[in-house]
Amino acid sequence: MKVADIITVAIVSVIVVTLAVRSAAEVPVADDLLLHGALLVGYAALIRFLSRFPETGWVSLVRGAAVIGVMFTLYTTLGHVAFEAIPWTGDAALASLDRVLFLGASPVLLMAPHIGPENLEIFAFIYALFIPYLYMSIFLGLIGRPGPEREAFVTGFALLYAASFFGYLFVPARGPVVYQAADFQSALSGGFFYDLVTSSIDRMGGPHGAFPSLHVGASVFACAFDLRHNRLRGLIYLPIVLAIAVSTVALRYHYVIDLLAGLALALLAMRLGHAWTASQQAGNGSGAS
Amino acid sequence: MLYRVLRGFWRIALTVFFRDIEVEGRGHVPDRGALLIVPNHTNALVDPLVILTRLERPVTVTAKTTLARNPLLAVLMRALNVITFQRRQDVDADSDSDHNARAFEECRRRLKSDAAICIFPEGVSHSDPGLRPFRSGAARIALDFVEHEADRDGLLIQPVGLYFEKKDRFRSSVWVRFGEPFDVAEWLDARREAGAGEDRALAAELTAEIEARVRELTLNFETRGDVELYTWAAEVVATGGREPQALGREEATRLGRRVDWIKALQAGHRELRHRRPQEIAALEGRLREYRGELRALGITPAEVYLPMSAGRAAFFVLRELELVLIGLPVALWGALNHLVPYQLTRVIARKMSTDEDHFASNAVFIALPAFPLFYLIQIAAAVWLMPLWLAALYAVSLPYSGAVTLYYRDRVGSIWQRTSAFLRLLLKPGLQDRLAVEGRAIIGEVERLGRELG
Repeated sequence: MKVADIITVAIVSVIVVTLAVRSAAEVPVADDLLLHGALLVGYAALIRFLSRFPETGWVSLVRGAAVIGVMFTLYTTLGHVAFEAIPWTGDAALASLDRVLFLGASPVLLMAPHIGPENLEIFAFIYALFIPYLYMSIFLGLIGRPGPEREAFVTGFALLYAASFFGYLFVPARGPVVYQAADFQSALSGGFFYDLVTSSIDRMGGPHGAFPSLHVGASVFACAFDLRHNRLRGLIYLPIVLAIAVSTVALRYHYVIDLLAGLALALLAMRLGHAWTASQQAGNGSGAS
Repeated sequence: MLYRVLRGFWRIALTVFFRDIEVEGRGHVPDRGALLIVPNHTNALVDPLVILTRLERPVTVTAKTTLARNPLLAVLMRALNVITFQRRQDVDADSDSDHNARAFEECRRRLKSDAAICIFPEGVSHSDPGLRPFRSGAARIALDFVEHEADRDGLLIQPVGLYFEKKDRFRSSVWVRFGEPFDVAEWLDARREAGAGEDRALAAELTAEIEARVRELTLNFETRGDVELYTWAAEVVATGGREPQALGREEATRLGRRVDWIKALQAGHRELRHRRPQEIAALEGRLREYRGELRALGITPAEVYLPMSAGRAAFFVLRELELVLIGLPVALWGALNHLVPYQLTRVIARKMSTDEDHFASNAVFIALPAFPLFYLIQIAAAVWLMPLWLAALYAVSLPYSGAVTLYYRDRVGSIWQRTSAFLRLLLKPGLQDRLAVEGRAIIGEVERLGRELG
């Protein structure tokens, strides 16, 4: 089993066990338990099926796509599950940590007066850019790369998302846009891009999963990976990644501590992804000889 | 401190000028202890900079006295404590007759404090196809140290090979190989035990030893024609008859690998030229013809094996188009902001260069003050004309956009080359098959001869 598979099975198992425990305590999460249980069984079956074939191009491609597919599924299901299954929320702690970081002030509130209707559209556009950037990075991360590099990408990606889901699950938070709503002088309202962002978030059950920021985590991971393997692409997207981070605070979806956690996880995932892949390759090499 | 700061600037300058600086054998270089570094010398002032910037430990450079005639260089040399030597051809009526004796003493003093000294035994930078005869300076410094500091741990001599792909071309590649160092005292003991002669003969023998070790690490050709023949043959053979790497992943065609191929081909060629003159002449002719045809078509040897499937082509277009389109605004911004210092450096460096091995040195040494100076002027203008936060953003954008422009320029050049090769092969049915068959036949022939040699 590859490291990415172990990570994927582990995170889905943690979710299933958590849901099972909560379900036993008569919390109404039976449907979610069924869904995540099916996801776990389905993924395990796919890995078992793929293990029959040598790790050639298409096998590692399907495996990588499956890992990313599971992570994306969890991203959409976990938001409301966490709030149903976990009897606490993390917003108060996260807002307090932000105030500690900014010497008593809330960075989101400090930024709020500077976000007018015009630059709100720009920030919303940048926030939305995350999706095409991430999808293109995943596409290029899976296709047209040498095997070990693809493996490092998939492993790092799985680790980043799995670690973030621990945050989603055990520190459920809706972000300043909900928790600090009363502190803002006015609610945000914008044009096409802002409406696009809010409607897509509403479709996923409203703001959730604030800690850590996967907008920052995933975009930093993709950028750092490119800086190592495709320097020009990494350099080109670097300011966009920075702007995405700023836009998450400008749109009030994240505390600054979420961004720092996302950044740290991304860099850790990048490092461990390469290290684990290298050691697995070395292990395979010595085994073969 | 000054050394570290300057080394940082040189690192940046070399990273900008050269597309790739490959280093092999860095682990051979001891972290501490007296060390005499002896590289070949083919790219003037760039050679010591490549060595200095690839090693963490500080390196003292030696230079000819005439370099100090340039006032700017003289300041730099004083700041870096460069040790100067007076070459025989530079001696005139005004020369200080004790200069070299003092330089030797200074070398001994620095080596005693475990310094690393870099000296170029050829004595002069050149563009010859092979090494020039080594002078005895390095050997004499080593013998002088061992003689006067007999109680100390051994002095190591560190041979280094430098190879420049196209030394007068911006964004070409450099390859550096650090060989195994050898202990002078141990070498001396071995020679004395073998009944070696006087000190003068000893110096000549040590010089020959150094030359042999540097020769092993460098490419040496008899004629310029040989340079082209071997380089081309290595490029053809290094393809392995397989499809080329994706753009940005040309590890398989890196310079060090090509150098190894050239060395292997040279060894085989020397051996077979006399034993099988007709076969070798035929292969040479075939290779020249193949090279001529590919050059006329504008196709590199690796591109002969480009995959021609629609799916691969579509993926190539998607991947490269994303970079070209998203990167274009930043690249244009970078080009606009660096155009003046870049062109100024290029024009002045070309004008000042009288030989192939001058351009890179001139470009690097002009760029080092020119770019920071222009940055200062541009930032000052921005502070004057814009709000401070915007001026700060502009200041950050300068080095960033410069770096993007540099990589963008490399990539767009590669995209253009590969796309045009693809289209040429696509538009002439049968051409790729014919070239691939011939390329693989040449590789097969070279491999067959190699096998026969064992």
